[in-house]
Amino acid sequence: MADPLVCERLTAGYGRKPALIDAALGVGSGELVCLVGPNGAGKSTLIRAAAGLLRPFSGEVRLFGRPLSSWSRREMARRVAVVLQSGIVPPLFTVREIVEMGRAPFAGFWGDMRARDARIAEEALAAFGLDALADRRLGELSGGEAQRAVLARALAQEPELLLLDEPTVHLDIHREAAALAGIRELARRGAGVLVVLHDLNLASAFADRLALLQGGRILRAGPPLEVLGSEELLDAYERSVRVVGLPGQPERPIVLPDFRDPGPRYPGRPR
Amino acid sequence: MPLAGPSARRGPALALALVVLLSALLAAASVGSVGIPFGAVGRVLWAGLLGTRGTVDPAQAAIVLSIRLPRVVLALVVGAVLGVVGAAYQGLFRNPLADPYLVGVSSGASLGAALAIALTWRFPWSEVGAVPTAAFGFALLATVLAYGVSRIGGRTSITLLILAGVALGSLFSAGTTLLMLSARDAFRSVEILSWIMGSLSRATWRQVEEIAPFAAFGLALVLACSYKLNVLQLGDDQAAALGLGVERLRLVLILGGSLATAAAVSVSGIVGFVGLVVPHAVRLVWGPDHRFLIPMSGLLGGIFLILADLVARTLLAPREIPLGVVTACVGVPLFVALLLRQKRNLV
Repeated sequence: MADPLVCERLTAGYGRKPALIDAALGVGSGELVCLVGPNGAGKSTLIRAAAGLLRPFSGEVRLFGRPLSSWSRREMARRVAVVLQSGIVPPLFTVREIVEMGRAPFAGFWGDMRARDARIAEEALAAFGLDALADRRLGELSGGEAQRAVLARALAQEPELLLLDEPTVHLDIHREAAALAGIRELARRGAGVLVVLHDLNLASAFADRLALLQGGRILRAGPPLEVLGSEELLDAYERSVRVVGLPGQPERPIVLPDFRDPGPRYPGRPR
Repeated sequence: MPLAGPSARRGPALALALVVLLSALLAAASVGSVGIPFGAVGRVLWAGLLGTRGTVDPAQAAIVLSIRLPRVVLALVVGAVLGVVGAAYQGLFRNPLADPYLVGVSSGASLGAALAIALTWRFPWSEVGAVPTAAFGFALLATVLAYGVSRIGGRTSITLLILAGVALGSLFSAGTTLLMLSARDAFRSVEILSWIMGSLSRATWRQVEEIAPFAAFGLALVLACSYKLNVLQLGDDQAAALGLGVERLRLVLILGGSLATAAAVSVSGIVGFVGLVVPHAVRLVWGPDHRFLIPMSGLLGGIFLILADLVARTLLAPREIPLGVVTACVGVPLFVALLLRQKRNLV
């Protein structure tokens, strides 16, 4: 079967300025790929171009072997779930109403759902521990609880490809790991996952492969150790990080700020 | 699947609103310079429906069927349009300040009406007269201009659409003011002003027949978008990622909304407040699901305008109070009370 996502020589951006240049990246079935890199590296742009929300300047995106342009929005939404950073959390809707919107691509004209759709939504609620909050309005919840509702909505789409931009913002550290474990489980069942993570350690712990971006270019892609242990990583983060191996999992190192580094020097600051 | 929370009370609420609507209809047909008892109104309406007017008092039949009923029905239609389109626009623009007049409809209609009055236009081909026809035409013209300005590179910018609507509104209002101040006699200025303040005193069955197709078509388009408006609340891109054709949704809603609003405004003048506040009230009480919010806003908008018009024509009878004045004076305190109650519940 064709890979869920293939990007070839993809250049995209806003206005005339490309924010992503010549990117080549694939996500296979069952594979979890993390996009990492400093702010403004082009991670979100890659997600948006892959989701068909940003028309590329050049290059190509293929979903399940077919060019992006040949997909209708609804057809795509039945197989690809997207969680954007720019998504709005409408405060008056209940958690259940939001999660049920994950079934919108399958619902009828009035949003009418079959019993199966409702059951899938219920399962997604349960998967993110939202049963007790199902009838609460989003505006009454904490940022982390609302973010779990957003992830449950993506899960309710039963996607074969997930494109996630910073899906763990606002989550507590244990919820963060639980959310990624949930995403990992989707990949184990065969979905392809492309996820932007700001947190390098989370990426290292859960990803099959990392792609490191800086200045719109993919500097390096490969297994966590290969990318995190590379010169390019040190360059991307201005050489002020340290990469440390943990006993028992040498192939998934962690990255720490380099506390010995005095950081950027400002004029007037004593040396 | 039964929805819990606010949605559980939706069925009974709709039924209750229908009962209140019928009562308001009866009351408005009964009260006036000549009081007609409810029972008699009921008999006249029944006879009117069956086409057996000969069996009831001809004077009562004339008052109810030819004078009061068209006015009440027109109030219902105008109120329903303003409620429905207000609810839909607030969802479409994701802006709590949005109302049916946002994209220039009101200022366009005012300029059209002012032109027709000041220049004593006569349209022999128009059965409802030049003023409503010009108002309707200019309202649509304003919308088309605003929409045209907002389309850049094949994509509508919501911010540009709102700005274009406001900017064109200022321009059109300037034109209206100029016409009012330069009209050849003061009587025309007053006529323009009273048109702008809103009134249903000129209501006829002919007007109901003329606006009904536009209102019905526009309302049908808007209602058909109800569920899609729910998804749109997630943001344009997120909604698109869930399979929504955002551009087409916008076009359909603005087309339907401005057709219906232009038709309503052409016979009523500018009636503020209904389209802004009724949807907010419904949302506060029953939640944001547009599948309920939109029809309920229509029902309550209709009821509200029937009652407001009743007050407008009876409070200082035989003089009439402008409808827009009544809707603001009655509605604002009600809304503030509702806001305060909700604040206690929510915060």
